[in-house]
Amino acid sequence: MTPEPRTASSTAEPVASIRTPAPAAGGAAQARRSAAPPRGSLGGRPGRWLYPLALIAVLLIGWEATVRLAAIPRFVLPAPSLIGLTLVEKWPVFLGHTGVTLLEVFAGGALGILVGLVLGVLMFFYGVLEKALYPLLIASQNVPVFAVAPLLVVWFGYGFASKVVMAAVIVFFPVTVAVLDGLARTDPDLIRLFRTMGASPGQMLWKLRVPAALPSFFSGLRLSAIYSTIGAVIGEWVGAGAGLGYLMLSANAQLRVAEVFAAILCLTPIGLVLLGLVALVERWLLPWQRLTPEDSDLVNLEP
Amino acid sequence: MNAGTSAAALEAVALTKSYASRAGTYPVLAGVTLALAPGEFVGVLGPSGGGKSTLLNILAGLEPPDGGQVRIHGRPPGARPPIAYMQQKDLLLPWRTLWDNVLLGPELESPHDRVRLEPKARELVRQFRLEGFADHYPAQLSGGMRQRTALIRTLLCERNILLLDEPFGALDALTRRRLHRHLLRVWREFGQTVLLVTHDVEEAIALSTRIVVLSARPGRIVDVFPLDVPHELRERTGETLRLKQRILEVLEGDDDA
Ligand SMILES: Nc1ncnc2c1ncn2[C@@H]1O[C@H](COP(=O)(O)OP(=O)(O)OP(=O)(O)O)[C@@H](O)[C@H]1O
Ligand SMILES: [Mg+2]
Repeated sequence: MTPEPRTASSTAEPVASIRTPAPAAGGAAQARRSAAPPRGSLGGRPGRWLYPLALIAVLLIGWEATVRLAAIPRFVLPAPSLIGLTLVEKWPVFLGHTGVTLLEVFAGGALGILVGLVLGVLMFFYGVLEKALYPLLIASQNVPVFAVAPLLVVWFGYGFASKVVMAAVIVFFPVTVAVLDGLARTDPDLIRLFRTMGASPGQMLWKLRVPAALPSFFSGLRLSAIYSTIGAVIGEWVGAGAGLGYLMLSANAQLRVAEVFAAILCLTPIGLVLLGLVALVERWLLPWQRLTPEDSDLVNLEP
Repeated sequence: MNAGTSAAALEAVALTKSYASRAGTYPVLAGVTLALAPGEFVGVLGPSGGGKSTLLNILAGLEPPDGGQVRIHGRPPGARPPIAYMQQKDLLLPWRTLWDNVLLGPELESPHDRVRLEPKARELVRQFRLEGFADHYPAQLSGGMRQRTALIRTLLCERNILLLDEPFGALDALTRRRLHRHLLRVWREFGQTVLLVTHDVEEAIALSTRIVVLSARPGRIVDVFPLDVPHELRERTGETLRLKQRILEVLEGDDDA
């Protein structure tokens, strides 16, 4: 059996010609320029999305077929088509609850990041505080958040506030660690360089430690994007009158499983959008990360 | 304190230094005494690991010596010695462009200094063939370009003592020669006192007014060669060739010992 010469590559070829401008208009010179490799990997190769999307499609079809052929009741496992239909039919309901959860996620994430930032900076500047607080913080991470959630409802009520606090409680820890780590792990050689150049303590902080800590801070932010969604939903499970977590719980109790799935479907993009937002800000603030000599606009003029 | 020593711009007096390792302490510098007159250009040659970078670290005040002392213009160094130090690693700030990296020293001094030195920075960037790369980040530059950037940054610090640790190590022979000329021109113009560490005997001969040869670890000075021939004539005289031969013999002799 001889493999066909590259007919299977038809998936990659047309997409590639979308990325590089068509050489037809510009003639030879433009064709040569468009042959240059694209800068960086901003958009990513289309293949990166193609394969997971294809896998999702296969899984969905398999799911649909299984449910129909095995006649699984809808209160056990609804078919994807039914979930989609539910979402379409009841979209104002889902939209409303998504909005509630989104607000909690944003507010809780922001609060957690703020607390983490302040704690991290304080612990960096006051060694005593770090020595006293750091072990406690680590120990506190062994307390399951579910255990705290009911208390938060007692203290902060049934509504918005308890969810915001719940999200903030999960978010602040990784941010604190990231900030403290980033500030403390500045390259000692660079600190010595700044010292020989006569930098003041303020310059040492703002022109060296803070920029050096930003990459670490952003990895903390990425974690917080994921955690704050989890926190808000847990808060809603424990006691709420609105939000996707509440919707899931009440639908589940009435065996409307399709609605549970639809709620999960609404939840997923929240985390993704937050992650994307963090990545965007990071790319804008830290353009120097992930650069290599290939990312030069100029032909290397060495020597 | 006698008048002779206080005339030196930079002075090392019987410097000793040991480092601790798991096996115990091992000496790195075994009593280095060296005085640089103002405006002198001293090249330091020596085998790898002999303590050359350690010597420069101590002179720059980054590490304390175990014994001996450093004097600058006859006095112990103050909080901010007039020294610009280009370390063996280029130590560029990855979040700053080439342009913002070379102007770091003046910027830390004052915003006014930064503005004042921008024309000089532009001139050096051009001479060092880095124009067009000003807005590049260090990660986008080659090793040799990063080294040139670090040298410009050091020159823009406006200190009258320069410590240069293998500043041309990552460069090809041609670029190296061109940068030798530029460095000499800057040195003639501003008359700094320079201590330059190198592995390249020809480089030491091309640049120095005096060459100091350091031994293998623990480092001490094994020989000193004054160079009286003007820089321009050095390539053409047979004396230079003989000097290179003698220096290599000293280096190799120490290696055998
Ligand atoms: N901070 C340190 N702690 C422990 N040992 C060190 C330290 N710095 C240098 N050394 C050791 O001291 C010795 C001399 O190092 P140094 O960097 O001064 O040599 P060098 O002459 O500059 O070598 P090269 O020419 O390879 O740069 C080496 O054996 C090195 O491992
Ligand atoms: Mg060295």
